[in-house]
Amino acid sequence: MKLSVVRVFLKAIMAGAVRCGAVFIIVLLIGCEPESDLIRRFTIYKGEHYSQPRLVESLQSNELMFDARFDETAMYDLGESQYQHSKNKLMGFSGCNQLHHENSARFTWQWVDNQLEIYAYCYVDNDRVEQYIGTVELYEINRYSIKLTDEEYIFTLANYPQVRVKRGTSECTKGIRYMLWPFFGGQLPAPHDVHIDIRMHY
Amino acid sequence: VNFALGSEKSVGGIHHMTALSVESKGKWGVGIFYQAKIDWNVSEGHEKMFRDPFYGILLQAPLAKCDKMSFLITLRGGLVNKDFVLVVPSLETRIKLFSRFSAVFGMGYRYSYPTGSVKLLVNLF
Repeated sequence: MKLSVVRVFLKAIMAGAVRCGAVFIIVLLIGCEPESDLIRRFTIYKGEHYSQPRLVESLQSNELMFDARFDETAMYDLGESQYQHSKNKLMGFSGCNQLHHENSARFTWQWVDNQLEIYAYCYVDNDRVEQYIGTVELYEINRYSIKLTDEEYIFTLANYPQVRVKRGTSECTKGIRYMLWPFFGGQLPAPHDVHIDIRMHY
Repeated sequence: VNFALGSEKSVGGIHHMTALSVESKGKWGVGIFYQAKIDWNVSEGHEKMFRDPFYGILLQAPLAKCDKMSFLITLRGGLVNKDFVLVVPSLETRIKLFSRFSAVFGMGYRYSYPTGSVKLLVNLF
């Protein structure tokens, strides 16, 4: 008796779940919103290095492309020059089946001389390589791209000239390249909440 | 042996997929799959018609089942765009339509966002 009641109850729940799921999926599949038009706000809270939300994702093509927008929270004063010139990470990806301190490519940013500077920031066979790309305005949405070729990482920011960084020789060709998300520092954590809006292009 | 044909929608677009799998009576399964975005407006010799191809092995385990319906957890792992290893987990609801045909509704996780999928599954033999 009890078993049959439980079974009927479970069947009813399952039938309801199926109906809800079916409706959800139909709406999802025929939804007319523009694809990839999802802006995600990353926040690095005061005293933290890592941004929220914490996501796990791997690179799925040979180009990472996204739009990013900084607001007034990107302005900070850490006092000493060495801290102020410490690069904050925007986005990028690790080397093939490697940790990002072995091989990786990222955009980084810093607030120096009352402007927001963007850099290409790579680890190439454990050595750090930094190259200045340009400056961006607060509240302005800019397009960023890191292209992976057989020999180079090609960084593109808006209309600035491309920056090319030679890749390491220790990387494999097939494997996992995990995504690297916004991170404050450097050595010091965020002095206040920092917001970065990012829209990925897949 | 099952053959499936369907589509999956993610923030990256709609991927069409096909899969071939063997399944035990307890709904445990293993198989192979291929999925890609299809670009119908390809000019000859220029762009690829199949974009972001993702292929590999799929594993399936039952969560709950009754006569005409089952809940499954699946894991697809393989290569996307030839060089990039990817693992996609998903939950599927399978409803038996006719003797050999089933409809499958799924929800997964890709590009850090949920995905939705719908498939037609045929039990070949």
